[in-house]
Amino acid sequence: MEQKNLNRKQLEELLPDYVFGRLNSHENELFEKSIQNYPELIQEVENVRSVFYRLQNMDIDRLLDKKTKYIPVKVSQRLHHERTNPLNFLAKPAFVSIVAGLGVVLLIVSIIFTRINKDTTVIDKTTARNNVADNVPPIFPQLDGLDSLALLDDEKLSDFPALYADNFSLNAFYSEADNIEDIVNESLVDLISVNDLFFTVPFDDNLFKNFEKLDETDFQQIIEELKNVEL
Amino acid sequence: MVTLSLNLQNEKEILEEFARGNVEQAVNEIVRRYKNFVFLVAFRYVKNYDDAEDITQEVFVEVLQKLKYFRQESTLKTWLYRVAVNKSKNWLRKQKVLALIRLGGKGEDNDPEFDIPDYSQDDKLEKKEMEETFLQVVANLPEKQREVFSLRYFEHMSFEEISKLLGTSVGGLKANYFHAVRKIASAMKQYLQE
Repeated sequence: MEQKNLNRKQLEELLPDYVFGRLNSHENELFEKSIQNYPELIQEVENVRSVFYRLQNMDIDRLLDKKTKYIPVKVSQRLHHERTNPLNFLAKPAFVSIVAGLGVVLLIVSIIFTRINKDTTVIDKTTARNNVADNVPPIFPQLDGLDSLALLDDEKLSDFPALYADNFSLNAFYSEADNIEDIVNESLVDLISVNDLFFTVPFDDNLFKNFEKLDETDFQQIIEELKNVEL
Repeated sequence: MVTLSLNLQNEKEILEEFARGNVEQAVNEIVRRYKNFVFLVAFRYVKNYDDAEDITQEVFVEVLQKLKYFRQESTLKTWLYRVAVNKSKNWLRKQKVLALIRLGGKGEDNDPEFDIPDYSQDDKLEKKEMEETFLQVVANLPEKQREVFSLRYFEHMSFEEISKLLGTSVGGLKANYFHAVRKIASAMKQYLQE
């Protein structure tokens, strides 16, 4: 059975191997038969053959041998250097990976610690008020109740920041200074009103309660007694 | 195919030698056997003998240091080829960046021109120069054409092997091979007529 001729594309694909003698006898025969239909490809074959005929005398390996003759020695020296250099571990991927990994871990730890510290220093107003109310020893223990009311102690007032320093850092204290100032102001207002009350306590109200029951004689007696009072 | 099986056998012997602890012998044999191959691969990319030599050294140092991990899923030659191509491409990238820095941002297109080195009339007949011109012409071909031509013409690899190595269809390789041969013939004809 006669095989169908090769088309132009197929001929082009086989052309180099045909010129370099790498086709088998069957392919060779088919190529020579099919190319008769394409005169421009016949010309192409002639061009390639004439050039590569002149190039076939080239000794590329000899040229390359010249260019690469020192490579074995250089490679050997470099390998020896790599093996004997004590600092070589610095350039090894494993070492670089470990160092990079440690760096990342340290970075993450430092970020976490920074966040924790930030959480303790940045206190919103509500938290600050609650802390003041719940955790801080009373600034003015005298105000805890009217029963325990006593005169203000100037020394305790001067220790005022120290009381907070036990529970907060100074930074937190100053960052919340506005809140504390409010609290102090409120406390002073309360204190003044309580003190007003305190100085009115000695008044004897029995006289007022029985005032309507007094008669003329009682009044005269009171006036007589008042005359004996030294002002 | 005979050549390929012989190569495989030889590679196997070299690797067995290496596994037995005769590292020096195995290393020397690998470098001696493949230095021209690796050098030519690098040269086709960087188009400069000095840089190709540096890259060849880099390739051997890397491959020989990792030789104990080589699983033999491909041939040693294939492995060397891939490392050489990667290193050459990295080198080209570095050169482009350096060129950009030197030119202060004015990027220079490093794509090679399809030209022929200008040799004096007296030297033209020298065989060495014709060989170098030929290598330069090959190096200046587009990458696919250059690689398929080199692997087929210099390394006598089959299209199937080249296809596996380059990840290109056999049909595409044959077309590239034809275009490469035609361009080389045209350029060398011009050179030989001058």
